[in-house]
Amino acid sequence: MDFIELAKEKKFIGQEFLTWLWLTSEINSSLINLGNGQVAQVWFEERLVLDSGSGDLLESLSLTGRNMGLAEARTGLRAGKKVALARLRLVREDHETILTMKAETLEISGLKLPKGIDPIDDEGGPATLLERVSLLEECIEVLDQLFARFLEIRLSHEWVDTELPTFKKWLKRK
Amino acid sequence: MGLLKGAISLTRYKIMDSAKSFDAEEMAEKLKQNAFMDIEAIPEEKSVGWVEVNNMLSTEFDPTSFWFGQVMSWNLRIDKRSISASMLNKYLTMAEAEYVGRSGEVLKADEKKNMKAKVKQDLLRRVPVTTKTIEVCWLKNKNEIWLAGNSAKDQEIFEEKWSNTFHIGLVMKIPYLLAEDLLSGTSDPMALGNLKSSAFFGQGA
Repeated sequence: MDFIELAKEKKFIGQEFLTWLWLTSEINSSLINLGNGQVAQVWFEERLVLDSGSGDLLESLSLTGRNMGLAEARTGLRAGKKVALARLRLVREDHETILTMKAETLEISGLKLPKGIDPIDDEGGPATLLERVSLLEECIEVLDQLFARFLEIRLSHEWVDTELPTFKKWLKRK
Repeated sequence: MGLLKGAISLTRYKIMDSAKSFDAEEMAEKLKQNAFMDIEAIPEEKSVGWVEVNNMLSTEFDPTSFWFGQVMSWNLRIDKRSISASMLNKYLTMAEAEYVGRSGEVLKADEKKNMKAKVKQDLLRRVPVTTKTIEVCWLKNKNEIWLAGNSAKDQEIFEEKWSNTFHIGLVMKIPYLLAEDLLSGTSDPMALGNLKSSAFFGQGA
């Protein structure tokens, strides 16, 4: 299977990851257990796109603004849609990062690094670059940990035995 | 905007041949060989090449400009002149009318082709160049490349320039490949490959 076919066939992994992250964050008051005693806080805000199908059969639901229509998003989920793109706020150890993530490729855009840390006396120079790369590495590490946690659950019996029933119950209740 | 300042867009790539590495001098040589060529004074449509991360006008690539311990960084510079089809048609029509008025003859097909090429060259000399720079970051300890952008066009241009420069395969870290890396050695290798899409609600798991 070539790269493009693989990306198409397995694009659901990214969509399920963001959908899992959104539901887990809603159910657990934004707290996500990363394993090893670490916790991250994740909020979905300002922009959420859900879709289902592909090509001519693609159906998309786009929600924007501070008070996104979460009721509509839940209706979309009930109709079989999954998160295709989301604006996230991540907090770990007092570092807050805001970013948009596309489910199909996990590409990141509009990422704002933690406030108040932007340096220093060499704007645009190597120290600025290295500090920002280091902050970005921390953020990527959290995202990778979240993704790894999702995979751990997704590939275990926990997915069918605990996770999906919890989501279904929550969706019915709302 | 990007790794140095402002909001960041990011595409992550995995280096396929992790054993291949270059020392500072080899890197400098490769970057220089594929450095950006200025088209400000010549009628070219496009130029793509590497420039220093802190200075888009410099292609010296002294190792201190790109080699920062475990991180290497430089910029991809893309210069373009855009001539729309309607602009080209307008000036071609004007040139044809001028020729017919002067000679009283209609242009033959090959003459029209030559005139079109000449008009385009003239326009290229007059249209200003637009410049875009995108940061590239090589994280040696992670075997990963970051491109501070995620438009499909920029990714394609970057991937081609990377390949011509380093002759090392790169693959975008799409979810499946990232999952393979994260699960490496910790999970049944077949489990991920056999994974099927799961419904969250309604149609059962």
